[in-house]
Amino acid sequence: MQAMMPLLIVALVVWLGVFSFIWSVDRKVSALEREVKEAIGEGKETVSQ
Amino acid sequence: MALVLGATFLWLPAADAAGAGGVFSAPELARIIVLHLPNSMVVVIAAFTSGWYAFCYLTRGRNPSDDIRSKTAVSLAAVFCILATVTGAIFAKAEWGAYWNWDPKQSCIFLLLLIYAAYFVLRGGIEDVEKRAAVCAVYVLFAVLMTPLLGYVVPKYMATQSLHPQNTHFDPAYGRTIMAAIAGFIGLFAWLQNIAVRADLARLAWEEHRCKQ
Repeated sequence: MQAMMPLLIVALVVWLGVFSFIWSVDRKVSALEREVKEAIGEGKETVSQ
Repeated sequence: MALVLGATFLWLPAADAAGAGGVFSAPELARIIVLHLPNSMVVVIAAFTSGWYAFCYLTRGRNPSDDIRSKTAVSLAAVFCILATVTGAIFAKAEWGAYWNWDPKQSCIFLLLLIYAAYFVLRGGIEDVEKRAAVCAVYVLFAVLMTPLLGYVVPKYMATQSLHPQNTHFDPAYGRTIMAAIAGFIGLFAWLQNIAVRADLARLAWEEHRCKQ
């Protein structure tokens, strides 16, 4: 079990990185959706990326 | 998923100590099945999801959102197919000495990756949006048929000479961990599908808005 601890820590760090990345993309997409909805409502011609 | 990883490294016994009949030369690395098998399952689930939305597109009034959902599910099927191939190749290196052995399962998954790659080539090759969606929907129905056929039926029943271990009996702990991992990976697939579909729908709404102006 002790020999597996470093591997587990590496796996958890990798998973945490993947999870954080997906979560950040999720938040960016939510912001984009809001911005598009507002822009369409106001008849704007541009949306910030 | 963190619990699954914890269980994989700390709770699961090595595969040979678990009554696998000593078939593995790298019994510690056999734990990778906890990632390999759920990835393969998610490929099939993603393929059927894309097939369902392709069918909806063809039969439910050519709704662009169905095309987007189908396309996203195919993309995720390809991603999980690559993950399943990579995890399988890592185990193949430890077990059979090479990352790629042209084993029937490896050959079939290679064909499956080519089928998914052809979908994106097809998608990129048609300019007209409606024609592209219709042609891709029909192609997806073909890809959906090929996924379980190449992933399970051909290697299991038509290719008897395989390096893959057959009828291996793992410790029951493996079964429980794999089920939890499958649930986690299905959740991950649903989350990714949701994000990609929302992004594409926002882009579509924006493009429609621009066209109207």
